[in-house]
Amino acid sequence: MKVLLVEDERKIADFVCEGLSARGFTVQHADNGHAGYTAACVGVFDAIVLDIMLPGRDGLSVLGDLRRNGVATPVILLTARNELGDRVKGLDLGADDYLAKPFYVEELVARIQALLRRDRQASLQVGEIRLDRVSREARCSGQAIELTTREFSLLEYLMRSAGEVFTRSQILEHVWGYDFNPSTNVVDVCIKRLRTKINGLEGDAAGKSPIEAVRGTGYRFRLPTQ
Amino acid sequence: MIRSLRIRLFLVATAIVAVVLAVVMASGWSRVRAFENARLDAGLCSEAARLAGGDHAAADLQRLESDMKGKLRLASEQQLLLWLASAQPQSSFQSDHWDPAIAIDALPWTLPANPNPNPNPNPNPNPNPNPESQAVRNDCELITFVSRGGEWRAARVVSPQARGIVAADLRAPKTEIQNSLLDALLVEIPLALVLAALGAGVLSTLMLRPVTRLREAMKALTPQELGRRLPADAEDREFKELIAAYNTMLDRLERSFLQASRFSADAAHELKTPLTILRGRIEQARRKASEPELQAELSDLLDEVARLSGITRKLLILSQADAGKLDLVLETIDLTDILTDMVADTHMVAEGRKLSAAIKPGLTVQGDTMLLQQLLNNLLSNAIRYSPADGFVDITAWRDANGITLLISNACQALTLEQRNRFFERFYRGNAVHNRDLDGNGLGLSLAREIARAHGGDLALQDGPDNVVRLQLFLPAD
Repeated sequence: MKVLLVEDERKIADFVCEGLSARGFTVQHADNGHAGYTAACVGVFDAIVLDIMLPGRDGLSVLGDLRRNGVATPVILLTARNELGDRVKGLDLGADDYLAKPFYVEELVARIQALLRRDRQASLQVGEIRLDRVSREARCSGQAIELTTREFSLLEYLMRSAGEVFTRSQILEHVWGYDFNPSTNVVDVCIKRLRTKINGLEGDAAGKSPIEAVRGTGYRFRLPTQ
Repeated sequence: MIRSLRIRLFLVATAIVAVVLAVVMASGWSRVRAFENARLDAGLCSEAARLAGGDHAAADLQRLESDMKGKLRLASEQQLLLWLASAQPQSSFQSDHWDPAIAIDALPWTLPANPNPNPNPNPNPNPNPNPESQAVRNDCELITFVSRGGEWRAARVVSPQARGIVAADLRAPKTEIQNSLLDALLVEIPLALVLAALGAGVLSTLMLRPVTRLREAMKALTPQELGRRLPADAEDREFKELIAAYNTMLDRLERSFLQASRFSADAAHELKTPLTILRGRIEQARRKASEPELQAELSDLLDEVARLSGITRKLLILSQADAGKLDLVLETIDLTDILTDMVADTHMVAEGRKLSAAIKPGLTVQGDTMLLQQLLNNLLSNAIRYSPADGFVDITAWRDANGITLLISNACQALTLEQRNRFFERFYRGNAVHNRDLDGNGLGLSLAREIARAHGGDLALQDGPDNVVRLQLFLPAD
């Protein structure tokens, strides 16, 4: 899968390229708005990651012109300044998603993957567990699991990047929004409940739970092979 | 003491008018008195000359006395004293009521202080000069003495035949001029004072009218409208200077306010790029790290970056709110849903706390999802963070005609008045030492209030017991 990254900050571009490549994407990088626009018109990409603050020509103007010229490639905007206003302008201009700086590459990868499978994949399955993203139902080996909104979001978040380790604050930021941190405890409590609900159905010992605690780091959803 | 410029202006103006009136009246009165005294002196002298001028029989003297009474404008003979020491002792004479204790001849008589400044070059031989003339004879000696409890004015004329003294009681009724002047003073001074007071009142009101206008204009200025200036065109020159000074001050204020606001916006923005790089690089390193210890270490760093990002983001929103440029993306939001989820979250971390919630269904509002979620997050996190493990947290939300009200109460350590007053202050944490381990940065409540205000609502700390925090959020109806 081919991704165009339009980002002027060299150091950011470096690790984003590296991170995307490590997950099997082919990345082309443009370091200004004009080059980005030309590349997007000429090449064929599965997704475009577009920074808003760019020298020469800003990301919103690039996005506007692309959509006017019929380039329908999914676009994820990277916003920094005035994120509230930009996010709306960007979505109005035809962006598919946006991500505020500073972002996790892990999150960017997940968003790109979500965009690419958007129409095809309404459900997510890893191992025995299957999530229906539309009806927001979870099943384990065919049996329904009663989950709260948060528990579903948490499970989905871990499952969509199965195998990756997430820190508690990373999970908090994604599942609870920015600041629900009376203590990061809420993640542990929620994980514990989730495990109990899943294990209750599986009848397994906690050690074999698909949600694995990584000591000193956080949590990950075990890939079936692990 | 009331410090009021208006009252002071009024009092000062009235006092000035009163003093001027008093000076004018006093000088007028003393001129009238001097004129009257000079006339009396002249009359006394001329009568004394008459007395000393010739032989008088006793009956003659009686007539003379009553004649003098008329000429000196005295009311009765009691107010007149005659004394005559003649070469012929049988002609010597004293008024009946003469006080024999007074050695009249031994008194320190003086010649007139101001002898006729323009003596007639051709002295009038008439021994009976015009009594109205104020000119005092040069040979007349005068004195004021006390007798029978009153002051008397006396004139002595020495002629070859006799020494004649005529004295008049100074307590004699005032002349018509004096009387009419007194009447005028009694009536006109209060009248003049009343008029002066009215004038001073009008004057002070007139003077203060531009001040009132300025005050109203200044009151209308809000921090979000620091760019507005007071118009000076229609004002008087003195007030133009005041307005110019005020506007200059506003210029400086606006500049420093914009600078501070732009500074935190710029600082927050400038921090985002290095934060993004930091986060990306640490994430990259963690993915590559094989030892669990290193992974744990890097995860800790990622958590710190997350905290830094949170603060940066809050500062950015606060600076936008300060500048009045918080862009809201309005959509219909179901607060009941959001609150229900959050109460469920709160239950998870409530531990020993007694948590109760009463949230009415269908609490929809026009608002910015991200910001309102942030606002509610902050309120609930705060309630849990600052309530003791065996305390309570009580959440109620309802709608009325005006809008939606959310009331969050929680037990807390007793708050001092200062802590209550500084509750919404940025980076302020009550009991800072005690709460160091609590993961907050003191921006949450300030931010929550700015978000509420940006939505046309408000967030306020309600009065109540020391050890209860009761925050009331109000959001106006759609």
